[in-house]
Amino acid sequence: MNDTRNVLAGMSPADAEKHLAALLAAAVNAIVIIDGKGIIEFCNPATEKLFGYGEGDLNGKSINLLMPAPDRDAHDRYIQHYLDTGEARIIGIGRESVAQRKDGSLFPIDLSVGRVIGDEPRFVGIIRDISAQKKAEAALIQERDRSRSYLEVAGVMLLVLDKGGFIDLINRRGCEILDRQEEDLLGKPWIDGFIPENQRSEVRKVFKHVIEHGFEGYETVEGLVLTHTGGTRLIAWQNRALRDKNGEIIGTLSSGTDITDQRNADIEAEETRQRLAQVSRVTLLGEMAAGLAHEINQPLTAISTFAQGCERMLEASNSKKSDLRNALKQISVQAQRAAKVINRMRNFVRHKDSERHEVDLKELIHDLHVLVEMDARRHNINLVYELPAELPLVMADPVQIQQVVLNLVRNAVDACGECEDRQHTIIIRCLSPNPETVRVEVSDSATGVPEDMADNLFTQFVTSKKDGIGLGLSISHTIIGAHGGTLSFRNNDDAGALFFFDLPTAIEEPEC
Amino acid sequence: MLMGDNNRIVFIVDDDDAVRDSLSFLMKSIGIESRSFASATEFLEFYDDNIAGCLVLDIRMPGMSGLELQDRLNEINAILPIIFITGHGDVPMAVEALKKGALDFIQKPFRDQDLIDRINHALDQDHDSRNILSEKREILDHMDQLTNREKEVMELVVQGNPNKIIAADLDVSQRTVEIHRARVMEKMRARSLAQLVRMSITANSDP
Amino acid sequence: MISKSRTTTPANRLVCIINADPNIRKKLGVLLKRSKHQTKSFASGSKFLDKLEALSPGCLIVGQDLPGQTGLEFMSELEQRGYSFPTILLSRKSNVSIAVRAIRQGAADFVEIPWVDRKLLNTVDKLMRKQ
Repeated sequence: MNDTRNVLAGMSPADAEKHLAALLAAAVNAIVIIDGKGIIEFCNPATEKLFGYGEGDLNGKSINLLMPAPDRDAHDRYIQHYLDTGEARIIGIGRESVAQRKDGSLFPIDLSVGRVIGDEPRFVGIIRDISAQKKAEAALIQERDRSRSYLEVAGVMLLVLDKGGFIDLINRRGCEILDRQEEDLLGKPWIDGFIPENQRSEVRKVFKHVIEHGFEGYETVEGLVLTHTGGTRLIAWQNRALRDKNGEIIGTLSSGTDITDQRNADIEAEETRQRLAQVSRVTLLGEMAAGLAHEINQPLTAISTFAQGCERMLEASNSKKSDLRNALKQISVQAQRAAKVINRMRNFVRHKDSERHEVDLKELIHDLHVLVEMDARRHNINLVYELPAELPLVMADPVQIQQVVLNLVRNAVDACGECEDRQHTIIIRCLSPNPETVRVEVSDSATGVPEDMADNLFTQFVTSKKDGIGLGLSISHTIIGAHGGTLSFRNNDDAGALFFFDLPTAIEEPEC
Repeated sequence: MLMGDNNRIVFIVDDDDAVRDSLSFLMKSIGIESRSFASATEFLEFYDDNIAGCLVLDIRMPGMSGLELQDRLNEINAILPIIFITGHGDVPMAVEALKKGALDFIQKPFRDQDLIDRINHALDQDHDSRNILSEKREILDHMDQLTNREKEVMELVVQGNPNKIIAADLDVSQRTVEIHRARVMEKMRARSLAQLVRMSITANSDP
Repeated sequence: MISKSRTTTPANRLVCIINADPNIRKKLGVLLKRSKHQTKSFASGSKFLDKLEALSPGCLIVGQDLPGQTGLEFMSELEQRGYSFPTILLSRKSNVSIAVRAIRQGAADFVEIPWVDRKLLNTVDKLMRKQ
């Protein structure tokens, strides 16, 4: 600037004027000089072209012509205010404004104003059309907003950290997961603020690695974040380095998926699987415990009530000897009854881990009766045993076979329980159809096996029970198969189903 | 009122012979008469609601269960209070039984004193219910003897209306109301207005 | 606001969950909201009492193990203060004598944990309809 002035200062006035005129004519921007009343004293060709006026049209016109309302109406006041107070609002400052062409159309301009030094107030204005620039800006803003909306609708958490680990950007999902407002997050140190203490060093390592080495893999890293309420969420992260246009790393971009619920569900699923695996064992033992409790509770109740009655009679001294004797006798009978139950249970449990040996199926079944009767009694079902006096022995693991029988009977009870319209009967029968085979049958009087289930009844997870899981028959089938036998069924002619299994008899030792 | 205290009976229904016998032995030891039954059906055949007492009932029995017996007794509006005994910690059953009006629900084995306390409580309640019921029956019997007009007058009297209003309401003379009123008091065996009001409340109470 | 909520229709009544266990509160909340009940949860009896003035409970689901008192004691406290809400007592312990006491004390139901969703919902539905 100073250089130009110096150049002009060194010229003759005529030369300077020529230079100036050439400059003004060549200028791309509009240049206008007005007097203190806003009358245009001079404007360059670019002005006329920009505003759509003919040559010389603007000379002597008010500058207000070039601006839309309300500036147009207020402009005179602006000048007067400046002249009165010397308080510059635009002079030497410049600003973006709006101008009006001859045809009335508006366009954005960048306006700078200066005061021409001299006695009379006189101003020079330089007007630059910034339509193209504005358009580009608008496009950029739109683009930015669109990108932003992509971030916002993203189902994953998006997080940009600068090189120092401060939050540069976080999308809406991120705010939701952390249960915080965006303004509480931006500019905050991520690792110290939102990672549980015990995981910070690990996360810091990952961050450092990405910043220093530009690690760009797609490997997923899982970690906890702290929420506003002090809770934690489990996030699966993917991290990338963020580079500027020169390829310099300027931060990290991470996308995170909240997998807390999913992980909980996985844990539950695993627990369910483990429960299922235990089902057969637990069912048997649980039922046994319930059966044991009931069977022992009855004699215990009788014993304690008889004993307490005796005590009262003795205290009241209204006792008849015969009454007391009878009560004491009952007490000992009931004590024996309880002992028998316990013995039966002990036998049952003792065989638990034993290997296969010769067993009498009808005894096995007899030992089950406590458990079986519990179930039948609950549903008011008649239980009929048809056990022959003599039965060949079989080679078997007694506990496993008992599990099978119990399972078949429980199925029968459940089937009967589901159609309570009539009195039901379950028959448990042992027979030996030929010298090589012993058969056990469990027959019920319910509705039988539905046709559509008959084909895959022994498959896992097939069940007709409302709350069954379909494991029992499958396990039973396996057990009997392992004993060299077969488990089958058929529907009875009159009502219900008949399940039965055959086991080979034990081969007798040849006599010497 | 209908039955003296000596005539109350503790009914015991349990399918387990030993438990049943021990319970009746305990009753005998404290001088309370009892009668035991091996099944709900046996009990129902015998049962007569005019016999005062209470019922000690096993909840799980083959055939008719304790809860079913309770239903049957409820259907015939039986007074007899029920104490359930059970060998199982079966909470849903206990809840159901109590909701259906059982007096109590206790688990085997029990302390004899607990059972005796409950039985005494049940017998007291049975006694009270029967007293209220017999009183109510008596009142209703007396009310049956009233003429329709006397019933109208009684209604208005127990509502607290003075004779003048009653006369206007029924469109008769005050003197006539006085005569009706005296007949009502006489037939109802009421010695005071307050007593008459009490009778009216009892007559309108739930069974 | 208070008077408004008091005169609301049964449809706007709350099922109030009073339980010390956040998991149970959450599970119940989800279950009940799924079947269109409005719920509010409280970690203790006193927290419920603090807010009671502004509430319009249709029924309560009360845990037996509350901070500083049992569910039964809380029920008595409510009764002494002159409130009577249909109440379901929820207990982790399967205990006949607690069940008996609960029903005697006027509980509409006594439910063991784990509960059966369908049954619990039926009970709540019934209590909310009755009002």
